[in-house]
Amino acid sequence: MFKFKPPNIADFSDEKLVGAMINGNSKAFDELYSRYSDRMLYYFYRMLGNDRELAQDFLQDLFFKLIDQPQLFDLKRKFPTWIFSIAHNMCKNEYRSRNIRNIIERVENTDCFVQDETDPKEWPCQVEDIFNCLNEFDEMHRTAFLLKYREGLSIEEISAILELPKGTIKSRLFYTRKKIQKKLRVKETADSDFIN
Amino acid sequence: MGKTINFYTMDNFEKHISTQLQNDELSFSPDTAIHNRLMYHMQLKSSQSTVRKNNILPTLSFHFATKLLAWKLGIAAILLFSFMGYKQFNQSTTIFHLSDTAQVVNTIDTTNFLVKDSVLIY
Repeated sequence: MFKFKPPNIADFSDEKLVGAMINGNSKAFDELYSRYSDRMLYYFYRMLGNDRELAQDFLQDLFFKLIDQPQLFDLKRKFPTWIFSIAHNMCKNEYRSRNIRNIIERVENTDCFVQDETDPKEWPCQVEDIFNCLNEFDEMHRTAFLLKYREGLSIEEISAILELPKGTIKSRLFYTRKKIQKKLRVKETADSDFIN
Repeated sequence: MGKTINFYTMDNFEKHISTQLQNDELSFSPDTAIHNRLMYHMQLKSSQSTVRKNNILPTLSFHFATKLLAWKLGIAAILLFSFMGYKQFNQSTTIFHLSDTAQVVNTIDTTNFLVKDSVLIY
């Protein structure tokens, strides 16, 4: 017998969900939120000097923007590119208005990262070291680095988010990597000297 | 001390930081209050939306589903009998000829069938 089966919203692509959101579908928004909230929280947390409260505020603002003006999304584009470019602009404005680089406190025991706790020897706190080095770069370098190595986005996508040529992205990534590598190597040497 | 990683090759280092960052997790998650506020905001926005969801398919589905079948059959029977009753009183006109040349136009009414012999009857 004829039976209407409603579409499963979890199977929708991000772009289709935004389309549904434009039509006022709140379930579509809920699904998008569940897909992106953790990623965006991580991004804000790392971009804003490991400030938990600020990251939560930015997350809320980001999704408020999404609710208020979903029609600004070009359905031909990829959704991650769009949402990360909004997030990036929010961080850029924050940097501008507060000159955040000067006020980031490098608190040693900021919210610790959940590593493989079963064997801490296997996972030294490398992430912390990486972010300590990364805090010395401007927001463009940091964003490019996070998008590349955390989010796994391609150079083209990062280029679209940061609105910079691909060559610039590549060179910034290379420079950042090189500098972090150098710093970590120095640290590694210092650690081994300390042991000896 | 720590796991030994050969940082001297860039490829290894790149893989290493990629793995490190992708395995990294925060010790906290998005605040549920934020989610609630956003959902409330979204529902407000949704109520103002001019586009409404398509109701025709769920309605059709309800009509053809086996759920509440007895009620549906009952309602259908009532409608059917009403329709038949209506048809009984619905008088259609017809024309027939009588032998004395007068054309008689009459409505077929089994209870009140009157024929007169020379006049046009409506």
